[in-house]
Amino acid sequence: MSHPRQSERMGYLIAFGAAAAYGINAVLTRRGLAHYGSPLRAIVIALTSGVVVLAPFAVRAYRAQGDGWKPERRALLFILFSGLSAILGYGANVLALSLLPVVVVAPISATYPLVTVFLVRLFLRGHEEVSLRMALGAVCVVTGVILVTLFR
Amino acid sequence: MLGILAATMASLGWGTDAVLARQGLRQIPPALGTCLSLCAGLVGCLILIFIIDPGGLAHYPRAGFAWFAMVGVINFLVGRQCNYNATKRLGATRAVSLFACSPLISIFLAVLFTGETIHPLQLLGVALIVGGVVLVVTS
Repeated sequence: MSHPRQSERMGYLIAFGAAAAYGINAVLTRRGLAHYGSPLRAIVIALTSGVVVLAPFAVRAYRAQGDGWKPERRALLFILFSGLSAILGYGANVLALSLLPVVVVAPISATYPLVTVFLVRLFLRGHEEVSLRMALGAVCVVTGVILVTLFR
Repeated sequence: MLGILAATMASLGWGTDAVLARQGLRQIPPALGTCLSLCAGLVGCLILIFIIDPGGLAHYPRAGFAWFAMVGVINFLVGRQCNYNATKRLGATRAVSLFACSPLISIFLAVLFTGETIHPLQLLGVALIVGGVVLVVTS
């Protein structure tokens, strides 16, 4: 079996791992907010614990790059803005849930794969191809998520 | 109206996150990228909490601290690290479509532990999600 194919299969497994973690996290967050309230404090505590537990892995990954390795400024900026975008998404979703029912908020926020497809088409044309099949798949996923959350 | 706007911002934020991460991860290893992105988010949130709710954390219940620390480990150590790893291996479009399956896990847990029932249209939604995932995976 070729190495790229193995890496791709592992990628799918890892992606489902992320989906599982986010799925569990949604249930735990809802329960935690019901008990202790204050979404902003909750986000800060969760982020702090995330940074603390991830720091050793980050240091190891940095050392594994070899002596004198430094991330390119451009790549660093992309990662830092990616973090800010993710927190904007998380925070906005919590704010929306504090103002509107889940049945209204979830279908809207679940459209984010379409945003990704649109942005990839717009900005990553040279790096990543978006086929019709892939775009159709993204539309099916989002439609499914909308149905699932709307009739909850 | 503010709620609708916030939900739309959530979609834009998460959708943009995947594309930006993909660009940055071309050169930065996922574990380092995950930690750096979290630091950026933490700094932003700390600034916000010092403006809106200074000293609020001091009065937060200890059990709440423990609970959300656990949430942070699951969401960021497992979720976000897997997210960045998968984005690096599969590309932003494929990876983010698979992450969208997370509501399935939430529903499964809700049915299993809180006794919720499934509406027939929810089953249709599940079929669409699985079908969509298969389309993306096999493209």
